[in-house]
Amino acid sequence: MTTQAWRRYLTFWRTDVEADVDEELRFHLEMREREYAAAGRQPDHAHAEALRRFGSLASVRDSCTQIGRERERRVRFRDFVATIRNDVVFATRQLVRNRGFTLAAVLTLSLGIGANGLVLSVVNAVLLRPIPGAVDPSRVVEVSGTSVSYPSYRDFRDANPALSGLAAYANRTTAVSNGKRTEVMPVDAVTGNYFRVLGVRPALGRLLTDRDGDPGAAPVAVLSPGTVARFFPGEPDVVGRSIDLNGVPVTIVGVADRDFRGIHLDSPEPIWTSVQTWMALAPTSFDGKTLERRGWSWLTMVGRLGPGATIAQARAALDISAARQEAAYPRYAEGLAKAIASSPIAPIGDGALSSVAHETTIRAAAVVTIVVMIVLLICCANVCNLLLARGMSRRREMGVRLAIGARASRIVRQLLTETVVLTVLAAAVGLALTQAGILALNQVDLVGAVSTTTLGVHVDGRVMIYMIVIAVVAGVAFGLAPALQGARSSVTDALKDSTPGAGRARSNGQRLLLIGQVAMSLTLVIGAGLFTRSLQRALAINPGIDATHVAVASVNVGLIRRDSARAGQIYDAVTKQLTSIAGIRFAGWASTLPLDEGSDSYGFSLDDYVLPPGATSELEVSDVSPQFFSAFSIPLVRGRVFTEHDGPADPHVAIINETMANRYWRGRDPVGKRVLFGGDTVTVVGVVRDIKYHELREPAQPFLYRVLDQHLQTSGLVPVNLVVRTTEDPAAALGVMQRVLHEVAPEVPVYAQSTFAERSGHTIFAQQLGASVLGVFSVLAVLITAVGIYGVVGYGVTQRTREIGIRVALGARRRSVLGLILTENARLVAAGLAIGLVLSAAATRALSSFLFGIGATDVVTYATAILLLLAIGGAAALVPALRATKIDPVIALRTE
Amino acid sequence: MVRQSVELFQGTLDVLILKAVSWGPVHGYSIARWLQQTTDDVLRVEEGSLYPALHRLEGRGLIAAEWGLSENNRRAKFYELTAKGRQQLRVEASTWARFADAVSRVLATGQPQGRTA
Repeated sequence: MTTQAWRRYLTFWRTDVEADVDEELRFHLEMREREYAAAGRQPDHAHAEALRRFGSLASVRDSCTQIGRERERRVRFRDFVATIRNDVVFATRQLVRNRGFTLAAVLTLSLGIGANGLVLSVVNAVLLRPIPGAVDPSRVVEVSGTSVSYPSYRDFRDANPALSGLAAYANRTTAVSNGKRTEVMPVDAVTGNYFRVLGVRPALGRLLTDRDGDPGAAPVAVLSPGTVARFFPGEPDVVGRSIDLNGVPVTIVGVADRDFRGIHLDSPEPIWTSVQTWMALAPTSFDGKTLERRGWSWLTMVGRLGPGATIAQARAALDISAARQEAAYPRYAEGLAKAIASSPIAPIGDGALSSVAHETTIRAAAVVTIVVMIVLLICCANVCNLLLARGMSRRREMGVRLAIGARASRIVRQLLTETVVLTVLAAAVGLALTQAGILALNQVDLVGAVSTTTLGVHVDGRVMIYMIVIAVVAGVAFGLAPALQGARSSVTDALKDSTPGAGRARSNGQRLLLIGQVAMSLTLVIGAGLFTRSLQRALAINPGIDATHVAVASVNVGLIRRDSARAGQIYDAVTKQLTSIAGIRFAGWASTLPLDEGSDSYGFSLDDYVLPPGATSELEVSDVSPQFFSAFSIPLVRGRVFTEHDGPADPHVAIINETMANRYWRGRDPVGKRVLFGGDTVTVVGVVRDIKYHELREPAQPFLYRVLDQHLQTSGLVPVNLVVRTTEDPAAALGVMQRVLHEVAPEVPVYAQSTFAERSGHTIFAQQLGASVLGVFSVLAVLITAVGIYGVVGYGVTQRTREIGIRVALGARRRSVLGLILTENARLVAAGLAIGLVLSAAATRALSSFLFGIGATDVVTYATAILLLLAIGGAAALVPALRATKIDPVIALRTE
Repeated sequence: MVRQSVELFQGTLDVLILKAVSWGPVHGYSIARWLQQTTDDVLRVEEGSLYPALHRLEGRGLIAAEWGLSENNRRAKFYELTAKGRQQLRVEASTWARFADAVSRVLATGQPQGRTA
């Protein structure tokens, strides 16, 4: 039964091959039977004899059917291709003929598609693209979270059958100089097989190998093209040249492949050198023996999974090796097994950004993608309205074609092809827009070292395919309704040239689209509004400091020389020189700044207070110079601030913040109390007001300041920040700071100079990004919607010219005509706003984690957005409405 | 051994069919009867193998098919030679003639001269 039905279905589309073959063979057999019967045989005898003479009926039928089907397939394919080609040619001709329409549609769509392409390029680079320059990075895994020593790494390497290669690296900040230019930048100390494991190729020269780790091997380094461009501008052939790392000259043996930027895309490109070379140039007095010390853990392991191996297998092997090491070297490898067991082992492709960034980045990416999709939908709605309107003018053509026998499905397919050709054209233009957008973004520096150039945002194959796919999908989705409308054109209506019914149907479609556009625009505007207000709130949060006239810079004396006395001298000299300059009020030093992303914390205990069990025994500390508090205008609440009399030889003192005072000494005077750190005891001499230490939204926490001069051994030889308070523009102070630092300590590189406002920009990054992205796209959406309203209302006016003419002729006043048009429009907009409100309330719930100080249903934002859209909606309809009032009834009634 | 004869046979059958349809539209049964008569029943083919050959030739464009009415008003498929088929027939016929000629000449010779047995 079902085969029969299937065969009937097939015959609808093409000839029934099986039936034909059956009939032909049956004819032959009947003729043969007849012949035998005529010769006097019995009928069933004749039948059997005919069959026997024929041979195997079944196999003959099968081969004939097969041949027939294949032929059918070939013919059908040829026909199909021919129809498509015809449709495309016809569609192109139509588009060329209606240039105005085509231009409007292509421009609108290209904006939507281009915006989508731009967003996807960025998302692609940030989240989806694996490490560029490495071979098959999804098979390369990193054991993050645990550092191992070099001998320990060797043990792991030799005992892991699941990994085809295990390398290790350590990322260290280094002063890099070529005599003319000094920078503080990261250096990756890597094992000899690092590049081999990753599968990176050299662009020039060679990459590091195991031989570079041999004792006595010359110190060598590999650069990235970006580094070469910075240090040797215009001289790309750097192989054989020398560059100084921490003052030690090192020979450049090669340049890594253009695309390779290291395995952590959120840090700047490093310089690569061997682990052994690093030993020679590290600022501490290391020797070859240090490298072999089993207790000195500093390397992170990264390895490539062998063919068919899984992460679980690699982990199992690592666990076994760790257990073995722990057993063999109980003193040094204690806790190694546990550390390895709890370390995440993940492909480096996944973790291109740090995992924290990942989570928020994914959410941000999702939001932006949705936003830009909505913009595209709005564009498509406009084009759909254009198509519906144009459909009217082609009514006659369609009606006649249907009347002379064209299949409705053919017409639909043809109209759809037109739309798809349109959208593909728009995609091509959109591609150009995307490229332009990327170029524009490249000029903008996003927060931190992460800019679109660092990430390598560009249009690759994936993005292009995505754009074409959404173009085609959009074309089909939004072309379907107008195409179906076109195929329904009644020929009598067409010839009569008056279609009250069909016109109404078209208008309904247009009205629905318009309502949708308004709703979506409202959502975007509300989103933008929420972010903007949230940004305002964030900017208004008092971080506890006065950051308006502050400039900062960072130095790392320890990179050049591990001499704490010298470091102290430098800090004091710089302070003295700077404060003597007019325009600079205070100059101080701090190991961590307010609103710093990093922190130093130490285990502590108190003299007269037993910490309750479960309470944290770590305290955040910053080592500062006396003028620090004045530089940031942090008010003193009790006691005193540091002075020059708190020197290295004087009793160690500290200043705490209010939260700490209240938490441990509530109601009593904390001044004079002692805080005990590992090897050091400090006495509290003062209490200052709380400030925001990391983030604007953080809860209150205890904090302690020590004197930098009293802790030079630890804090003086690591990165330290210079803080300067000026009377005028802090940016102007940067040059002065640089000059003084250079005078006092020319060998110490300075980096990260900026105003404090710039440095702390990360705290409002999400709000800024949200406000700007949503702001831009919501403006775009509103504009396109306004154009859409203008178009639809205008079209409605044209359609109803006769009706309006009659009204005016019957005595209606211009004003009532205006009112008629505007009220109808207002009703549509209001309906759209109502739907949009519901949509927004639901959608913005997802944004609430990004928002600051206001809820996702902030009344002010909603109200403003609604009023804004009402006004714009009204204004867009005004022009065609005014046109309606000028309709001359005589002309209107005479023409159509 | 069997396959070889079938293939050889198929090529031969093709040229026979081309000839059979060269005078005008005939249906499959007529072709079978004509072959039977003309070769004096010497070439006894399994009639079934005629039809796949017919359809293949149609697919190659050497013969054209059309449904029509037979002499006793039954619906049957009629085959006719196309221009391309006519050319192919000419070529195949001459090839076959030369082949047959060569084979019969070999078979008709006596013992070759100047050769020890």
